[in-house]
Amino acid sequence: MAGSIYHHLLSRGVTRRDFLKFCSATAATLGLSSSMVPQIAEALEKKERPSVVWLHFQECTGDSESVLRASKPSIAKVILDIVSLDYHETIMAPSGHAAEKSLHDTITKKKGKYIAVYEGAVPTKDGGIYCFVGGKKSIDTCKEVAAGAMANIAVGNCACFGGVPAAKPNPTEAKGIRDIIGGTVLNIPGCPMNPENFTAVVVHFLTFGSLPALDSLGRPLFAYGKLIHNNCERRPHFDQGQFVRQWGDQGHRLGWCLYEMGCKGPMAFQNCPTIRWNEGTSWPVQAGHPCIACATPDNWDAAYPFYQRMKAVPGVGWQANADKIGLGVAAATAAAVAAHGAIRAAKRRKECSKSEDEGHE
Amino acid sequence: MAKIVVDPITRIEGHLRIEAQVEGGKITDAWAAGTMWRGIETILKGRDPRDAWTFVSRICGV
Amino acid sequence: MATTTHREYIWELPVRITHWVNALSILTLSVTGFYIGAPFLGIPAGDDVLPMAMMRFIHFVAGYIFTASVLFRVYWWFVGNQYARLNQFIPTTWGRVQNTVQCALFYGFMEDEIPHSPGHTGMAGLSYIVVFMLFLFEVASGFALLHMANGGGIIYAIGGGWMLDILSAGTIRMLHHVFMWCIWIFVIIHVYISWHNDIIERNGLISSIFSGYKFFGDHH
Repeated sequence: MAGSIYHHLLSRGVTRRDFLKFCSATAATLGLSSSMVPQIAEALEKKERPSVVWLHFQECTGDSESVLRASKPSIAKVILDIVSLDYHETIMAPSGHAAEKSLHDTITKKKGKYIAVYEGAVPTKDGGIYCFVGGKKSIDTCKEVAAGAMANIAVGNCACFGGVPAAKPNPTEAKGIRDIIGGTVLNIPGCPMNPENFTAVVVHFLTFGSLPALDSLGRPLFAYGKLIHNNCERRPHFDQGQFVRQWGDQGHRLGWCLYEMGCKGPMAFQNCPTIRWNEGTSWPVQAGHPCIACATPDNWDAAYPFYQRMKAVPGVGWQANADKIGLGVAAATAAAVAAHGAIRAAKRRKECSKSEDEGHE
Repeated sequence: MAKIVVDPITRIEGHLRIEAQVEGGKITDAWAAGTMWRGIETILKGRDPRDAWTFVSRICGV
Repeated sequence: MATTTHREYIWELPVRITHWVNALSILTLSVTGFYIGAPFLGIPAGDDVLPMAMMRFIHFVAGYIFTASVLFRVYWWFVGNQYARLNQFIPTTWGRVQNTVQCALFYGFMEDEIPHSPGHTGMAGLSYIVVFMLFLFEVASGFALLHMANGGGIIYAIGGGWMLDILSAGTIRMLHHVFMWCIWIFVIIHVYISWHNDIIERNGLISSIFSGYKFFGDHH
């Protein structure tokens, strides 16, 4: 069908074979069986490119870069050809009034028919003045665009849960999109997000007309349902007690478990060990760096300190940890108890000698 | 005397607003404003210095 | 010094059993738990030795045993004899409050006589209810942490999975560790005070946690 996604891909030099490989890979990412591949292919062959507006708030543009940095034609690059990106400040040609007109036209003429993607947190302190785009506060733009979208997708930890701007003490009272607009927001967190997950969500939406199954944090289960610790290639080293103790030590060179270096894999849910990053090249643990649970709400405080196993006990600073404090208090208690015993013994000796003096027993 | 406002500047990272005062076909004054603030220095205070790079690298994702 | 005239059955069998099951499981949970938080063993030779996996397994099994013991004791709060019931732990009468205060003063060397309490003293009761709250938190937080790894299932969800919606996993793990230390502070004080009170009261306190009987004299 002319004007369909498939024909657009063909015109961009993607072969039929690459197209089908893409459909298979996406089905796998979504956790669907290979029998679903024809359905995905058919949807992309028939459907027109959906309109997407991509808004930027308090962000670093990492999620856009994650999608744009793909170096070879791949799942990540193809996404830009599957959708009609009608507004994206990092890559669009117009600027100023012309850019804002693009946004305004899309959300009015295609009301109810565009997908809204949000990157970056929304500040709410002091009426939300800490982020203005085109002379409008982000909090207002966010609500306006969300109202007419057929799907709202938040990408990256900042848009999902507040991310870095929301780390203590959260100077601008930054919030995730969900907390601003309520309702169903599909969250694709990560820092940055993995573009293959984003692509899979869009294809799912095009194929089935609905968003995939989400967990209680609005994250698609196909990508965020499994604990990293349970799928990590270094898990056997964990079970065997083979831990890296210092950067660059023998264990580090042998690829041992990074648990002792503060890896937060045991509390992180994402598909990094499976689909990895940069078209399956690697992921932090494979490269020898512990996981920082970047797809978890408040990971900048909850998974912090990143190079320590245990979270710092509040109020005592990052240098003390629970064990040092515990040992200290236990030792103090033992000393106090010993002192108490000594005083009691002394008192009883005095009482006994006193009662002997007085002739009792 | 006219004032030109270009906001947002696109094809950059971040949010930039440029205003220019034009008189007789020449720009006589101009302003540039970064229209977003997160407070990353404030966020870093009191944290373990060995983790600082993880926060600071998120200032810009490019 | 009192002469003993009779003995009385104070600690019922379920109370004693749960006490010792708690003691042993807390010891096991602490050692394995400490290892899970900070693996202290050297690297074992051979690929078929799995210390961390073993430690976790033992920790989980001991955790289940501990959970059963704690829950059973909670049940016994309501069906046990007068010395096992909830009002021994939470002071509900003015007399009990006075007992607690007098006890605290006695330990602080400001009072000469320990208040006479056939069962728990007021201070003991108070400390046990506090430590029980710690036990319940450890059980719930333990289930929350297990829920993340073993994913789903009604036991985990009821046991503690709900905690993950309130606190972050990092905070839960930290508190789980911190409260282990709190429980050990309690253990140090508890063992000492039991020994101390056995000598002061001369009623066979230490042996009573094995036999169930305390011995009383003229002052009963």
